[in-house]
Amino acid sequence: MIKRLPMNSRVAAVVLLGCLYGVTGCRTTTVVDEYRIEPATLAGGDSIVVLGRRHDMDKDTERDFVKCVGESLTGTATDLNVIPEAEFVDAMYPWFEVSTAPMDVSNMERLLENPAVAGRLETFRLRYFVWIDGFTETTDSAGSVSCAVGPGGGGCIGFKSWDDESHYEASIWDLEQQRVSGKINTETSGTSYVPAVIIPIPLLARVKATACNAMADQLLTFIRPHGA
Amino acid sequence: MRYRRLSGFIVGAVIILCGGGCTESVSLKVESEVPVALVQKIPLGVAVYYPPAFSDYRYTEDSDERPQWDIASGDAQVAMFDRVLDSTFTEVTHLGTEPGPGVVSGDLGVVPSIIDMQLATPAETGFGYYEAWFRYRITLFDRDGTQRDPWDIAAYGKAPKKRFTMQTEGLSQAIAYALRDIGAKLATGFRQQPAVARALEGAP
Repeated sequence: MIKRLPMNSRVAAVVLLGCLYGVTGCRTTTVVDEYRIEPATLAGGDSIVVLGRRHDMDKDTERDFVKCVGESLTGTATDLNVIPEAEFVDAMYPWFEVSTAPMDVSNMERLLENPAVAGRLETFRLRYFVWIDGFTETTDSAGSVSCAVGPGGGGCIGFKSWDDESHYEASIWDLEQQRVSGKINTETSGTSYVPAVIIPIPLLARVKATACNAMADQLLTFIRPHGA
Repeated sequence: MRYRRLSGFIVGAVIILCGGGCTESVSLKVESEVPVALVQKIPLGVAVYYPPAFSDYRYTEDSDERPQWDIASGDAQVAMFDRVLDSTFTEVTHLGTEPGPGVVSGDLGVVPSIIDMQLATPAETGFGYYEAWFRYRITLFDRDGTQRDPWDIAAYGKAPKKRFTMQTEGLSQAIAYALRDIGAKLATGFRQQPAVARALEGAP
């Protein structure tokens, strides 16, 4: 059974937690590195595909992250033609499954010897592969929130915080030249809080979404439409 | 006041029951659609036979850790094989009995069987994934019904654990990815089988 606080104490607690949040905030920090070997330009009608690496046993590149980057590239003024990952992998089945996907750009040459594969890539007018490898994970957490339900009602009390970190690397492969055009790294971290006085109020650091936007913004500076 | 207490008790009981037991038993029928394989068709007529142990396959377990687990994957396995064989060979027929001497089996007879299926949940492994492993044995037969060396395939699929989703959904996704993996290995591996090379040499 929760011992009810007087109304003014509850208000004070919420204000205190609000101030704490205001001072510390749900900050996220992002560091982006780029390694450019050669400029990447996309002719009119050519397309790119953003794919995730999923060959590690314990960590996969999240499908929602790959989708987020692809959609962020599409919904911009440059309006790149991005083939959705699921559509591409299904159309190229079985050559881009976890167990069959080329791990290195040099493996593409052997794959392109298959006329069916070469023909389908030609149909897509695919010029660049963007392979994303990485993940977001919770690295630390502290505090707890306890909730209880009784005949008189229910509620929660406590304070919980946790740190999220994301590490992603995008490798850009030029299909025409069959070599790596460059690499982009993003590292994002942030802390989320859940203060709870009767009702938990999550104050979340959107680490993965921030990493997605940072990656997409950098890719947009890397892959430019021809003439832009 | 009495009704308020009663409703509070009911809410508490539901929370306790769901937290303790709703997610443990598993009953699911695997639904999986493997895409058409983008491979050059092998110019052979293949005859496939699905033994009942394969087409009606169910993973069942009733232990303390896995109470009343019943996973029916037979239909999904047959659908995957049909899709892959259709895209890999020029002609596919279905047999009602196992190939052998006196049974017409086209240029190549194919009989799949499942040796082992294993599953793992995040609660069991500590990883944030539902996982599925399959071991298949593909028995191949020559045109005259002679059985050749079997072809063993291992496949793996995993699906991330998501908040507020049922255990059945995670397991179903992991099995679907494992079936995709088997399909990929079949579609890319048939040409490497000695029995297929032999059949191609003898094809008209």
